Amino acid sequence: MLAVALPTESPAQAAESYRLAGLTRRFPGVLAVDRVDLTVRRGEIHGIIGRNGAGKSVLVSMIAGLIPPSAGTVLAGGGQLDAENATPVRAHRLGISLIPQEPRFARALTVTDNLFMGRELTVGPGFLDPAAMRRAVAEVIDRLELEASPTSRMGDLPIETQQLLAFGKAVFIEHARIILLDEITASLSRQRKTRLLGLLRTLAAESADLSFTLISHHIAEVMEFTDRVTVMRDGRVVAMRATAKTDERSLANWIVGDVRITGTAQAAKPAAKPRAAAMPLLMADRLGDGRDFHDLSFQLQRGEVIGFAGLEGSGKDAALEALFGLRPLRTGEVRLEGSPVRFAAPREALKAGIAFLPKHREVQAVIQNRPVEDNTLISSLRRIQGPLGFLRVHEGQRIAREKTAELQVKTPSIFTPIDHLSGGNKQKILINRLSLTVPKVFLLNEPTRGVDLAAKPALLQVVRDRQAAQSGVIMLSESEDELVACCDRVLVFFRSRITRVLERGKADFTVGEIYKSVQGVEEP
Amino acid sequence: MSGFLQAFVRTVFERHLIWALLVLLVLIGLTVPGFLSTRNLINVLWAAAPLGCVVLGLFFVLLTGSLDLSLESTFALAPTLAIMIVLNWLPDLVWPGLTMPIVLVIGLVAGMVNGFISVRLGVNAFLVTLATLLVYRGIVIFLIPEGIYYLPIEMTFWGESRALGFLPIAVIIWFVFYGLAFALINYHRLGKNIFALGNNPEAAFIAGVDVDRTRITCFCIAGMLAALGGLLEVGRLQSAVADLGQGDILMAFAGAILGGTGLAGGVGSVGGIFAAVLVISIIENLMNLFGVEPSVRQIVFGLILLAAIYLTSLQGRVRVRAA
Repeated sequence: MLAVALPTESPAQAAESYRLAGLTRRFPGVLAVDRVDLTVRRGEIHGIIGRNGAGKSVLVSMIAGLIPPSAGTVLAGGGQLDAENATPVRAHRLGISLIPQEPRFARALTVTDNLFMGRELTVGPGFLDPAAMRRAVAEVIDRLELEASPTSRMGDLPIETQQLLAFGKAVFIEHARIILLDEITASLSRQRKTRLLGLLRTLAAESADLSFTLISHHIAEVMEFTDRVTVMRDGRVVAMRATAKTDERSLANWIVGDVRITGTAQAAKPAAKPRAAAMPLLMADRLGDGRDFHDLSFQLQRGEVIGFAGLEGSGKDAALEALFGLRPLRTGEVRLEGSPVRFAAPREALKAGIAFLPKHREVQAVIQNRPVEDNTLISSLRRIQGPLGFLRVHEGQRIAREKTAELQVKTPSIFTPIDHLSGGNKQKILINRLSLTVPKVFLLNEPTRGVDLAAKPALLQVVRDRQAAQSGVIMLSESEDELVACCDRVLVFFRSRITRVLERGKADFTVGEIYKSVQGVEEP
Repeated sequence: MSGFLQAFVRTVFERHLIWALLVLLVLIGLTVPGFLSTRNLINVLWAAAPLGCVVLGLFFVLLTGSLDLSLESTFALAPTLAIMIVLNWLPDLVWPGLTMPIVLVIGLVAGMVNGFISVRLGVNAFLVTLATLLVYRGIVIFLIPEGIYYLPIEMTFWGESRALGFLPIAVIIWFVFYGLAFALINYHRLGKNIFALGNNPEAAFIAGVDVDRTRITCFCIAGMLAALGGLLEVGRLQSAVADLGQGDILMAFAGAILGGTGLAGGVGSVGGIFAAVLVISIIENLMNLFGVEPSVRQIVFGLILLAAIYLTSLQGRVRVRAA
């Protein structure tokens, strides 16, 4: 009998799906991911949770080979990814597949075309085998319980179906072994989400060599569907727990960590003192759009900043858009300085004195190819309008120059195309655009989104000191720090309703408490 | 000094290549006897005026990111209807001197139909205006299959007469309308709104621009300018024929694009298209002077146009590199 020295795997290695060893990623000025060690087992659903900027996305991008690590390795499928060799193709070959938030399909092609793109089934000398491919796709659709057919045009399907198809492609067609799901649940309906996560359970039980890594904002989801959970904060892993042995509250505490308010000078500034007796500037009474938010009531006083907090899909964005006339209200009433208002289009809202800063700056606000001047003035051309609608151009330029200097926008001149400026400077120009309409109410959706870390405090300062001085402000932010720094009151949206109101000056006006309410974590 | 020269050359290359092309053509023209004569230059301008009006109209629609194929039919329809109204239908009621305003109103209505269907009803502008291209032309063919000749002076005046005995009224009108358009684009609310929605319709809407109304306004302006061009052409030819302007829409596109107008909307300048119209007109004129055989004219014209379009396309690339 020959004694063959088989390369033996230790039991620990056999159970291992992938392992991260000292994985680190540095960006100029930021340490996004800092020496992360993590082992995910086969057959496991592993959750990674943390707040915005905790490093979750950069971490999974490194696992998927999209971003090469600065140091450290990903060990998977008998190979490894490191600073030298990481590419998406290589990650793919190791059996790693990332399901992104936004599926990237060829919208004009059919479901079958998309699912088999680049790996078509063939018969004979390279002829396609459409019947076999359609059968395979029909099976995937069946398995995922989708309403689609192999011959549907991908672009005609709802985003959530596309996302599930991306998942089906990775698992059933590419047979990836390590599936990373990046915030995939954000755009899914509750029912779908439950079904998908249920499917993960079944699949993990069925084929023991699969593993799922679920990146999520939602504590509830992670609690319900994962076996173990890793908490990230400031680029580091701060805790790793068996999900069964932890609870929502302690997870929340790990996630928020020791709460410090940083970077925003106005934190110390006392809240404005809205006169309770005065007529509210803006009053919402049981507003609802019949779908995304219900029973929204609040009163905004002049000089006050109200924050809307909530997860994506909690209804906060929809509510803000409805206040500006971008989507219809089904129920309730809005009163501006006591008189009821209803807007069919943004220009009516602007005329009534409500200004809106949209969330997606490049898509919804910036007018590309046009100078700073035009971008500043576009909402207030009426102010510089002379006879027959001709503009007092010099007056306009004077105003644009003045406002540009006021917020210290860094631009060579007001004639420079806005495209040449940085995110923070573009945002300042848009803020100028709003304030030039001299609104009674500012509605700001993520005023610091896509702005350099260093430029954020200045923008918040503008909100607090300038806008709130004359008007009322409603501000949305995904950053609890910003809300605490800037707002007098924070309304927390959870599943389409306001579940909690926190007021400045009270003991519970903290980042941690807002975070817990946003997550729907119950009081003990 | 050389720094200034460098900056000048760069500005020309980045923004005004079409002017450089114009200068080049004029220099070529200088070697041709007869090109520089007042008579010839005036002919160049005169021939350019009708096309110039259509290009200007198309320019407005292109700026909004849309297009209008029917302009070449409006070009014929408006003068035809005006002639029929004045001469045949209501000869006792309408004074022939009113031809110009009638033509403009008809053009405006023709444009409004396009605008309304494509903007309000949300139908693809290419298809809508392709259909109205056929309809408008069909009406002209139905009304004047044989054409109309010997028009009264009140109708041909705008295209035919000369001020001070040498300057064609048509050329003056062309200049005036380009001047008006320049003011409208650069110093009027409408212009700012057009550029805003042309570059980013969603952002313009959120910023309070009445996007639909601005779009329809542009279609109306385009119809009016095409109608005006038609009137000038009718005057120049002293007759109205059923195929007036047929096929000219492609030349109008050539003028607009050559002048730096972007097909995606939001990019373009009045000066650019003005120069482009002159370029097209001078190319035709030079072919006449060189005595290019009629049988090969189209080939030569096409090749020169190709070269011109290639040259002006360098502009975008130079700008990208400089940035």
